[in-house]
Amino acid sequence: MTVKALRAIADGKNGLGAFVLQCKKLDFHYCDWAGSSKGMNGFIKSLLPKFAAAHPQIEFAVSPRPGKHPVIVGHYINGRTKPICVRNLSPYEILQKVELLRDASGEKLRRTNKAVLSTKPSVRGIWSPYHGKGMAV
Amino acid sequence: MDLRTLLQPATQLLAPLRHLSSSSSSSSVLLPLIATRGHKTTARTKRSLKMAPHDSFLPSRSAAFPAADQIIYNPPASEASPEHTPFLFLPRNDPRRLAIMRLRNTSQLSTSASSSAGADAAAGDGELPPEMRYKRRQPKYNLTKEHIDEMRRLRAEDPLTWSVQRLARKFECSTVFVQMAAPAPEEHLRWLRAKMERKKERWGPIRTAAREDRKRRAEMLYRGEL
Amino acid sequence: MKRIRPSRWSGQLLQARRGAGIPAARTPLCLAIRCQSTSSVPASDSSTLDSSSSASPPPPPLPAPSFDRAPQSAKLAALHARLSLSKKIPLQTLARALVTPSADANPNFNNANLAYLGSTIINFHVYEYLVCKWPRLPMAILYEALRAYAGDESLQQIARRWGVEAAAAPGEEVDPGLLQWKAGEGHVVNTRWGYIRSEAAKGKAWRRGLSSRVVLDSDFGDQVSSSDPERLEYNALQSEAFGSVVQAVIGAIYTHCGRDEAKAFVKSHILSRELDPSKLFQFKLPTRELAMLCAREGFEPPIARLESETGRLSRTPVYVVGIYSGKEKLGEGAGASLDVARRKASMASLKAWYLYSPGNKVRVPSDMMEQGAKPWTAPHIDIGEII
Repeated sequence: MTVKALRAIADGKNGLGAFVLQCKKLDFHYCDWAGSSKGMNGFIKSLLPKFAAAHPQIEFAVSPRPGKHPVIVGHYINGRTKPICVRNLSPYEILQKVELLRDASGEKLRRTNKAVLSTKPSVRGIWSPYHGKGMAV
Repeated sequence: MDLRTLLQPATQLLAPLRHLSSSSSSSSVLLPLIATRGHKTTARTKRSLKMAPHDSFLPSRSAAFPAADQIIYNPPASEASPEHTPFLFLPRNDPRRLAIMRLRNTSQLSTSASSSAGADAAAGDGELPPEMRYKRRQPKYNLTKEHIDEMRRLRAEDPLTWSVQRLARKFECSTVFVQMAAPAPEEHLRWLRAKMERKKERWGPIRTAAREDRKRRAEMLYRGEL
Repeated sequence: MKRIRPSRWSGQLLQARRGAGIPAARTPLCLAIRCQSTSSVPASDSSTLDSSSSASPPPPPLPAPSFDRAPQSAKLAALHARLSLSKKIPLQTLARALVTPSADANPNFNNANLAYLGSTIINFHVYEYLVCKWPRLPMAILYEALRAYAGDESLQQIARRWGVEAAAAPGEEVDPGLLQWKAGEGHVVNTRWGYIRSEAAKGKAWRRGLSSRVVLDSDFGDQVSSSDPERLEYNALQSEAFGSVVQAVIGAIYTHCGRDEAKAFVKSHILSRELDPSKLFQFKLPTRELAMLCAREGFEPPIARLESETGRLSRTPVYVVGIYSGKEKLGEGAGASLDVARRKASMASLKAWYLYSPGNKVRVPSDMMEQGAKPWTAPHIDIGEII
């Protein structure tokens, strides 16, 4: 009975077990009149229905924004948003941007210089000068 | 390093010559000069730091090549982790226990011929590190009822002279036992507490803070944060 | 704003409608009368209002969105797909899982029942996993480990990582894909179950030992309060509301898809979370506890041995102390003083005892419910705590 317990919360690891797509909503803003929205209008007419059918886990919202450049805004589970301006882009270029938004995690972009980031401690432990037999130099 | 810096301009001068007289006898002389380059980039410094693995990581070459399977036992030079359950704590039917026992048996057989690693946990008494000296429970069970009555009488008679320490020394028992068997009278305890209070009042801010820090450090130690 | 949900409009919508009759059919003895159709009521109201002013007044607004609007909600359909739920679970059930008792007190329309069912399933699976994986964990640690996986804070994190958002305030006009909750009075704690102790009146400081908590108290070893429920903080109420969503979703999976689906869901969403149980320990007298453990198990008494040291006369010495029982080493620790190092080594030895695990792939009792399961081999059962 001398052991007491401390409070802790288990840490979630997305993809370990279940994977939840981090992009939860995509906003499409277009303009009927402006020339920069030409590709966006084509995208909404031709490619968006198929893309939306393939991704039921994302909420899609299409709304006009007259007199402005077309914009796609991705909303993410961590609360951040990622807007991309798609003026003068062709429908297939816009599709690439949409796929980029779908695959993003919503985190700020950061440089990774390690292939794997592990949360587990090292199997062999942290090297210590007081342990082991040592090596004759 | 000096020699290399001196040689570099010379090689630069000779480089066009080398192109002119390709496949001539002079190129064989110049090649080693060009191959020596300074350690300028990380890639080169990293490559130069590549070392061959330690012998303990390599399989033994005592037998001929198609030898039997061998397990390389190379314990890490790091603190033992509680994740690895010690042999004594493994239950009877755990496969790890059987494996360690088998390993120890085979290594004991082989130690007669040659000393090998693998059985360091079950080392002999001479190989164990030295014991630490600290206060630990050494039960003697030497006190009878008369002793305890005597102890109580002395304590009640004069608690100042017959302190816990002194009684423990006289009866050859622990102070905890004295405190349990012969507690001091209430007024004596009250007097002791008041004395301690008076002492604490005279502590300055530094000593008070140091005491509190020590307490906090002990708590952190028990929570595993230190 | 237009929302495009082509996939929902074609196939899944019809399926959801077909299942919509299930909750109504399953509660024939429902006494609560509430108008569930919002579309027809205003039309009839406007026609009758002119003819007879003394007719029935317009019904008061519902406390939470009607389930009829569930198939129209893009958020709800997206959540359904994001969790890759089975098509057997209608959107209406998912909408109900998002209505907490704080928004709608009527148990026929809130998630209280589903959440209670879900909490029992979650706690069962987490508990059997913990007991089989670390059979020697003391009871206090076991309770906290359970709370770390299945407590309200943990479940709230899960719900937030599913993308569940709370509505600003619950109401009829709110999107049914948002969590309906408010922090206020009239709060009902519905997922706790336990006995009210006779000594509860004596105050919080008066508490019996751990073993009676197994029988009398709630799943997490918390005392169930008597007549006056303690006032919870805003954060606690919020985590309870979000946690009830996760519990209700698992309850819904169990109701519509069965035991195996619910177990797989718990395993992939809750048991896949990472917890280091060695971080949960707080010791009080580690050296004495270790000595008692060795005496109980019949090992030789533990002896501290100094394995290596450096800088004994310097300001920053390091001592490495190992605890040995006979010739066997139990654990080791390093510290800046001999005493600290010895206590750390004792704690490491105790953790090595408590954190014994038969392996990563332990079988749990519920594995036997599968078809064609291999014969059961008894797991390691520990004799109990060190008193």
